[in-house]
Parts: sequence; C-alpha cells; structure tokens
Amino acid sequence: MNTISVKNLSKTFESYKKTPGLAGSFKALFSREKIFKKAVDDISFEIKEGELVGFLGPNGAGKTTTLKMLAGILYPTSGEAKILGYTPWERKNEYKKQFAFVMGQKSQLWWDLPAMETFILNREIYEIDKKSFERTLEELTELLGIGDIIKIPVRNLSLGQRMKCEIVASLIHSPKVLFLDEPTIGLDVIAQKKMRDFIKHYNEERRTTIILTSHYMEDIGALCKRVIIINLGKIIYDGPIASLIEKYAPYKVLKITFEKEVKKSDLEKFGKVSVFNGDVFNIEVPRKESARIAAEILNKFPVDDILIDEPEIRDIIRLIFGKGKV
Amino acid sequence: MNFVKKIIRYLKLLKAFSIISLMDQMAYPHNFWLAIITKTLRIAIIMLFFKAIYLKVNNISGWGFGEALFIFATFSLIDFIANVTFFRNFLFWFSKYLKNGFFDYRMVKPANLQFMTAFQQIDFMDLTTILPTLLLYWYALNRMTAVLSIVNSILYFVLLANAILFIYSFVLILSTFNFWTIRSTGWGRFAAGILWMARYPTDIYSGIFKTVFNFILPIAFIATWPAKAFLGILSWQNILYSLVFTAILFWLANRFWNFGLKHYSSASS
Repeated sequence: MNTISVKNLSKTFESYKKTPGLAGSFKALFSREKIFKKAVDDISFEIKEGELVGFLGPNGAGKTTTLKMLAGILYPTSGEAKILGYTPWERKNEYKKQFAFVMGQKSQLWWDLPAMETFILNREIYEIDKKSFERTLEELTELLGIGDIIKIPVRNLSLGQRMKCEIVASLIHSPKVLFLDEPTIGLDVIAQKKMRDFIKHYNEERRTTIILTSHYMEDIGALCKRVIIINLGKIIYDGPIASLIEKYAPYKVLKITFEKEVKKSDLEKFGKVSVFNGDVFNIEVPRKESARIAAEILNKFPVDDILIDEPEIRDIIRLIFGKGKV
Repeated sequence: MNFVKKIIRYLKLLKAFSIISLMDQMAYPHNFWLAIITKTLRIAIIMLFFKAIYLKVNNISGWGFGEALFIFATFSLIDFIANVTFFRNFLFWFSKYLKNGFFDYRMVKPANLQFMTAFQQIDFMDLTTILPTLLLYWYALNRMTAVLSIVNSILYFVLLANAILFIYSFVLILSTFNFWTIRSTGWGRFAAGILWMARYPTDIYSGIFKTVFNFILPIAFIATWPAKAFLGILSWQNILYSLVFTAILFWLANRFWNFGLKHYSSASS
C-alpha cells in the first residue's frame, strides 16, 4: 500500500515586482505589479511504506514547497495528496501525530535553554506517556551519540550538535512518515556522514517512510535507492538511481594508473580526459565501448592498474541541470 | 466527558508553556531582576500622575477620585492578564516566529494552533505588576462611597471576562494581518495605544468620540463599563450590548484567523 500518494499537485505564489533602488521602493509603496510564480507545477508520485526517497533539484526548484504542502503548512493551488489516508492541509491532529518535518535551516529548539526542555515540551504537545518518551529519548541520544549535549543551552552548541538535537525533537513521537529538508546543510564532512548513517539506520530499523531533500549528492547517493528530480516545479525524473546514471550519463569513467608518465594528447583520442596528473588519468568513454577501449589501452600503454567505473551522481546532476533541459 | 478531557489537556499545555517560559526568562538573571524593577516603577509613575490630577480637581466627568482609581485598577487587572498571556504573543512574538520559521514548526504540532500562538510565552516578568494593582484596588475601594452588592459584583466579574475576550479578539484580528505582511511590529504599538486609552473613564470624551469609544471601537468595555456595573449604574441594554458585541467580534476574529491561515504562504526555505 502507498503511504504517500500525490496527484497533479500545484502551487502558485503571488508576489510583487519591484524596480531596483530606493526610488523603486517608494514606487512600490503605491503601486506594485503582481507576478505569479509556479513553484510546483502538476506533480504526481507515489511512495510505499518504508521507502527512502531522495528529492533532488537546484535552489527554487520546488522541493521545499512540495514538502510544506505534504506537511500541511501550505495549501496547494490545485491537486490532491493523501498521506497515511489523510489530506495534509486539513491539518488534523491525528495526522500531525504521525509525521515529522525537519527543516535544516530553521530551528524549533528554545535558543537559551537546553534541548531537553524542548523535548519535554514536545512530550506534552504530542501527549507521549513518560515511559515511551524515555525509551525513545534514550534510543535516539545513543544512536546520535549525544548524551550530555542535551543538557547544555542550545546557543552554546555547534551546528552539528544542534542539528542532532533538532532531529531528536522531531522524532520524539516516533513518526511513521518523515520529511527531511536539507538535514545536512552547513555541516562539516564528518557530521554529514554521521547524520547520513543515522538516517539510514533509522529507516531500516523502523521502516519509517522518508522523503529527503539535499544539495549534497553524497547524501542522496548513500541513502536513497529511488530519486525524484524536480526542476522549475516539474518532476523530470522519478526512478532508481542506477537507471538515472544509465539514462543521463552516456559514458563510463576509466580510472587508469600508468607505470610511467603518459602524454595527455595520446589519450585524448579515446575520450574526454577529466583528471590527469602524471601517471593517473580519468577518461570518460562511451558506455558501450568502454570494455573495448580499456582493452586497447591495456595493449598500447604501460598500464599498472585500470578500473571501469560509473560516473559520480554529482557529475550527472551537473550535466542535467547544466543543460537546462533533459 | 470529552470536553473535560480537552480542558485538562490544554491546562496541562498551558502549564508546560509557563514552565518553559519561566526558565527561558531566568536564563538571563540580570535582565529578569531589571525588568521587575522597571515594571513596578511604571505603575508607581502612573499612580503619581493620577494623584497629581486630583490634587487640582475632585471630579472628572462625574467620576470622583476613588471611582476613577477603581477604573484604573480594573484596567490594570485586565492589562495584567492580557500582558502575561496573549498580548505580546500575538503582537510581538507572532511576527517574529513567522519570519524565522518557528511558526512553521508550530503548524505541524498536534494541538490547537491559535492556542499555541496565544500562550506560548507566558510573561512572568509582568506577574509582579499584580501587587501594585491589588494595592490600588484596596486604596480605591476605601475611597468609594457606593454600596456594594452581590449582584453587581457578579456582573463586574462577568464583564471582566468579557473585557478579556474583547481584547483577545481585537488583538487576534490585528495579528492575523501578519500572515500577509510578515513584518509588522507596528500593530503592537497601535493596539497598545488604543487600549491604553481605556485607563480613563470614557465619559471624559464627548460628541462623536464618546459614541466611538462606547459603541464602535468600544474600549469602554475594558474598564469603564465593568466599573459602572460594579457601581450599579450600567443599564442592562449596555450590558447585553457588550456581551453580544464581544461574542460577534470573537467569532469574526476566528473566521479571519482561519482565513489568514489558509492563505499563509510561509517564509521561504
């Protein structure tokens, strides 16, 4: 059964145009030109229970707007959505008790108080009994490796520590559906990795249905089997990451180490050389001919090591959005 | 039974908000003590102002010193209740929370959104102002010549509750505009300015202003009319009018709030 099903969902924002400069600001006080922006444009998709789906797209693509509609924060302009049988924007408390929304750029923690106080407040709001509250709290703090941190005022925490506390505050009621909007934004590489490990573990253990948006391809690549790519409010791809690579990257990458230095120009006839430094080369070659070309290079050059690899998702995304169309 | 359960649930929530607000305000102890001192001083200054006026005259629009002080005491009590609870939440914190996205987090929480918006910060620094207010009541009652009656006292408390609901509705309407304007702390000063006029008997105004403050923008509901009911000089038509007016205003305010919520477009990502 589908946990989330979205049908022809659209959201148009109204805003006003303003000519630049102070004069423009004065003018805007009296007359403004209305403009309409389609943030989400007729999207449809379905997500099964326990799936972890990545939402990918450049800034302003409509990812956050979509999540806000699914969380019931925004009313759509048109279309339908059902999550666990509820229409999100009816804002039923029964629905709210079953999902969580983590916004990487916003905070629900009380800034001057230890995070624990926010957890306790949420216990009251979600009407969680003491026992299950303590059990969940212990489990989450252990998994995230934050024992004493929850007793320190939030303003004294690092971004990574704060984000972990945000996660605990959001998951304290053990939601069935989780929307994660840029949960790793601004974090350093190690903190990102830890957050990723946590999300993966949580999804596998609890079978929580998760939608994750992120700028970091590593997040999506490491966590999601399925990815939905959205650009200018429209879904341009929905499927397994593996097929995404095949569909949009007509090449593979040969990673070669030579026994001695080789001239770049000698290798350029095989394909685009993307990395080279003395004896290590990466060459992008047509997908179908990769085996033949690898054999040819092995024959003609003093190869120490050769590897035929898929291109990185990051590069594929760059390829897709760089062209502006698919 | 369900209704009782609901009341208990929201009382518990109110307690939780109170506790977290108190802890939040105590996070900066110096600030906490300083606020208490300045707030007590503010009340003292207003009392001096009253005293100064009545040194010159012994009657303003038919209100003697004791009766005028009673109106001021009534106003102080209403002002106290509004300030400790919803007033700043609606007119100051709400627009801030809309802007920084905290409100979006509130929207996904399973409790009444208006309740959480109205009571999320309980202002404990204002609690101290109840002391001078109680003193003021005692002082005023000692100087009043009217005979107290039980019926009038009950009416007084009913109209006090009505006054709080009136201010609540008024403030709710103003704060709902924030859904469109997002940045607008100006509403707070506007509302405070209007409500502060209720400190004085509305009988001091004449002509069109008298009609406006009694019936159209009826700040008379806040202190003057309850005080008049207490003294037994408010007509039953006026009592009925203030109750019906407030009920309608409360209903309208809620409709408007829900309308605003539906059209809320959230702060950007």
